[in-house]
Amino acid sequence: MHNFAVNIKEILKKRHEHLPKVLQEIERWSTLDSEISLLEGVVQELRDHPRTPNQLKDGLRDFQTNELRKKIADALALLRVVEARFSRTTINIGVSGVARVGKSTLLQSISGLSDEQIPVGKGDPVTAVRSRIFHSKSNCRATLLLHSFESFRDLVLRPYAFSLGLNVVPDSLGAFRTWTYPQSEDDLPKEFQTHSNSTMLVRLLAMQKALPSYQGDLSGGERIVGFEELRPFVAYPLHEDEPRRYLAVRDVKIECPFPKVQVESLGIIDLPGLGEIAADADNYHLNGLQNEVDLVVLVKRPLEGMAFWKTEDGKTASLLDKARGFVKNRRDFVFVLINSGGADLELCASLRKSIRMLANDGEEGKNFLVLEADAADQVSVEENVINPLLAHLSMRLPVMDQDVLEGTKADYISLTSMILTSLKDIESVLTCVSTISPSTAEDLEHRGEELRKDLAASLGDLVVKLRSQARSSEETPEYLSAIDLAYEEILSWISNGFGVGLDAWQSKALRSMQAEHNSSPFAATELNRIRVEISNRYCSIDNFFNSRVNNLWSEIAAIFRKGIGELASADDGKKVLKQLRTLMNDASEKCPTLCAAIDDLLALRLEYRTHLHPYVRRELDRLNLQVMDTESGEYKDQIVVAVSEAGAEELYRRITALAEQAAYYTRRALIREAVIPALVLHAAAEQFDDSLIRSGDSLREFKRLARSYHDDIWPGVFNGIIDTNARFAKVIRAIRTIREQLGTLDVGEK
Amino acid sequence: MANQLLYKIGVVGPNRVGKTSLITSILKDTQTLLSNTSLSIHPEGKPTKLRLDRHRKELEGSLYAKEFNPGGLKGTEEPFKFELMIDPGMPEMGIRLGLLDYPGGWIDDERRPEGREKDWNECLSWINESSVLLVPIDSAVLMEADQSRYQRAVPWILTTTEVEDIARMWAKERKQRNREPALLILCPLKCESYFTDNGGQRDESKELFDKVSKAYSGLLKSVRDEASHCKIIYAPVDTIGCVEILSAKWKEEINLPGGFEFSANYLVRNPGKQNVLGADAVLIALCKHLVEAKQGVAVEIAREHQSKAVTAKERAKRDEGFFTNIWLWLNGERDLRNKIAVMLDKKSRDDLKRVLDMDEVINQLSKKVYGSRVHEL
Repeated sequence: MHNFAVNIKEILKKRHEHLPKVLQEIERWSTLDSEISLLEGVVQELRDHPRTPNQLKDGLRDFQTNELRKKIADALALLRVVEARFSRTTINIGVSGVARVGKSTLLQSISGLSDEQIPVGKGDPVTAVRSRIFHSKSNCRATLLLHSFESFRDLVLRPYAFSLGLNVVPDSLGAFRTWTYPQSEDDLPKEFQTHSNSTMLVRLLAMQKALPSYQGDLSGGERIVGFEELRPFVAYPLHEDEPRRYLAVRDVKIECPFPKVQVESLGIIDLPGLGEIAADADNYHLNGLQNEVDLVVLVKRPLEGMAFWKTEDGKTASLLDKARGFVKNRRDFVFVLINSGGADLELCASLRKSIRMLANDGEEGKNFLVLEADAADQVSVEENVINPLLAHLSMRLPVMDQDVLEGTKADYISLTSMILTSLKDIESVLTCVSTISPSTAEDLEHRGEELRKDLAASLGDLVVKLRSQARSSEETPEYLSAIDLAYEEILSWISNGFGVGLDAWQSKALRSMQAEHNSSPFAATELNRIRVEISNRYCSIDNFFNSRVNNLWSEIAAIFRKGIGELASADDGKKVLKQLRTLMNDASEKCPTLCAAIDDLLALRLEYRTHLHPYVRRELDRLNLQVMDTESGEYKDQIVVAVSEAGAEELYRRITALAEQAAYYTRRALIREAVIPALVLHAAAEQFDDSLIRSGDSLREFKRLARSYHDDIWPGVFNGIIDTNARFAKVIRAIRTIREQLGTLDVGEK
Repeated sequence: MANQLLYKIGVVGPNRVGKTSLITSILKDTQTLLSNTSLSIHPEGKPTKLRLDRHRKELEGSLYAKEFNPGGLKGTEEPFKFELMIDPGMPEMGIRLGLLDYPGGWIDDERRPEGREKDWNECLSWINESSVLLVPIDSAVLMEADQSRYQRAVPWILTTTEVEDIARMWAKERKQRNREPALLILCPLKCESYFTDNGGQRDESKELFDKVSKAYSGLLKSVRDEASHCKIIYAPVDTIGCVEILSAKWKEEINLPGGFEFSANYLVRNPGKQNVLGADAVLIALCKHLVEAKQGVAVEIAREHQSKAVTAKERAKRDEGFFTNIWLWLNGERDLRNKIAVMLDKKSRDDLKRVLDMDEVINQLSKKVYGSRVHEL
């Protein structure tokens, strides 16, 4: 296997990794489209309302979303091309060229298929339907994608009618059957009376005439057919009167084993119609190129009268440039293949020279790389076409993929900027025109300021109260009770044989000592266990701490309730604060600073382990078996008893004394640190007061709060006066939503 | 007894603070201090000996059983004069330390039994005549009062106000006798749980010092105001040494003035042998005090010889209390020198040497540096 086969497998894998991001972008732009539509609706509502000031109406008159939405549609189309590109499981090579250059012969050589599946003729064009041929080791089948009447009408009849200057198309199969078309060029509108239109009219009439031969196939959906019955569906008839079943076929997908190809994931796309006289043939060609192929081979044949770079070739190259899209380098995307099979050597040389001079500006390979092979010779095709193309793709496909990604991204970045400009235009109109009467606006501003002052006064009182508690030498009785309760429970646990029972404990101690010939292992283990237990049991004072924190939240919630009435009506302090946080976040004009202050307050924790344990931990050191001899500085076991029943009793007595002492001194230390909870609560309240009232944005956000929730905070006061403001706010909200969706949220105060 | 110096020491502290234990400790620690010298210290007289023996037996029994309950030691019910003799080994010579113990409750006027005013006044006279005032303090009460309500009960339990009143009275008297040196020793007891120099694991000595300074700030101010020449020593004493607090209880007692009764449970550290620490500082302070007094008297005598102006009447007025004792000491020494000068026999020379040795030992002790526990305030 060539190295490029491995590379291509890897390239396909990497392409798939891009897909989720592409799909996410498609989703984002689809949502944006809806949101921009919504914005148009709310702008229109505001603009059309009789109470809206004329100045505002005038300012909003120019706002149109048609252009933006068209561009979003374009961006989505581009993204879908990228989606199609990165979704593919094969590398696809398109084969293009005017009729009679040997495209089908080339396809036969690559695929190993015969004239029955890929028709080849010597006179008129024979390939009627675009084929996609995929290398498959296991399948040999053709899948037809059939037109419904509607798709036949829209994709076939309508382009013909449009080209012939006919404005109306039949709306049903029956109508088409009996439709009266012009019968000659003379019957066409004057400006459409051309030679090519005459040919197209003949084809259209032939389609109508042949309808019985293919109407049964206009079923839509897919149909799998055997290779032996494929030809009528893909080839033009040899005679006028033969059935035209190909007209019912949109596309055919053929799977078969390619005889000479080592790359598994390879597809060859036949692109018929280029240069054909058929309605919309070039666009059809272009669509196929954009969505389906990674590279195009433009086939040229040095036949008499065709052995030079023709004007049509230049047009085809331009069409391929369009199909190239964001791929930067033409050389990456288009190859020219000279089908030299059976051709005169002089004509070959002439064509080569013509391509160099006209297509490559006199420099070999400047715009197009040129291949040369006998399209009818499988070996020649493998060596001179397939292998060089795959080698090229293995090198350059990642570059082309990157070009496509960057180009698409640049496109929607520019669109993003355009949308933002439109949003700013609306915002500047909204900013210039106040929808609220000056007196009402002033009243609202004033109320916002007063609300802040009221809260500041009450919070100040609370902070003073908490400061005095923090500085008081008097312990909180509830705190003392919580500690006493834990202490009593610990003493009870100790006196009940450390949770085991006196007899069981002593028996266990004796057994362990007898097994170890030593009292220390058991003593050390038990002291460790007791130390942990005492510490854990003192954690029960967290109930008291929780109640203190809840009290603080309740007191602050009560202060808010006094100021903002029923806006936050939950039944406990924490819920009220959470509710407030949500309200501030969801306000039409958000209050991030106030939100953050509440978040911080709600994050307050007061816990034994965090706040007190570090201060009292050393008291539990008494329960280490080893203690330092203060005179010698050496460590020694503080309890050693005889390995006997009396020793076990003595051990129990000694450990009990140490446990009681540790519990007592921990209790004493906790009481000495009794001020810590009050200090923590005071600090939290003071910080909250500062963040809420004295941060740089505080006043501005209180005004926002007042504007956003005036009817809830002061019910009835502003009824009907500022209903315009609601519509105004809707526009602001729609703009914000779009900004958020664009990921460039900029919500500075206007 | 003529040449024996009676060194009166006043003791003022509440009931059960540990006055007897302190005296026992001073005796015990001083014996250690005087080992390898020509001096010894021992209880003087049978009553003191019996009293101290009883106390020691009670304590030893308690420690042997690995139980220690300070409330279990018998408190003082009647005034009792402890006498300890610093003995140079020569009859009628030496220094008698006299410490008057009395029921601690008596210092509280309200708790003093009726009909004991005369006895109490005698106690006050003794204190007034003492140039040294010893204030034993219950450290545990101060240190274990971990809640403000208990802290409010501390002055009631330690009777700090009454102790301050007596100290002020004593200081006023010192002011009157301002040629005499004065010494106040604040002696926190039951300190074993707060120092690490005697087997303890927690050093809370600074906190103890702060609490004592705060609780007795009124007393210190009174003494400084009234007798600025008074030396003040802070000397914490472990009277037991091998115990430490296991837990403490504050039982609510509405009938008690402070509203709470304090008690502490102690555990006995192995090997359960008494190990007094810090009481030697009391003896060193006394020695410094004696030497200072003696030097003062010597200067005074020299001045008298020069002026010849001191009448017997004036001397009688001056020769009271401690000053008299020092006077006697110096006179005794001089008398002895005079006698020996004419007798010139061996025994007399030995006696003189003993007296001079005692003088020297006291001089040496007075030069000793206090241990790290002691603060001169």
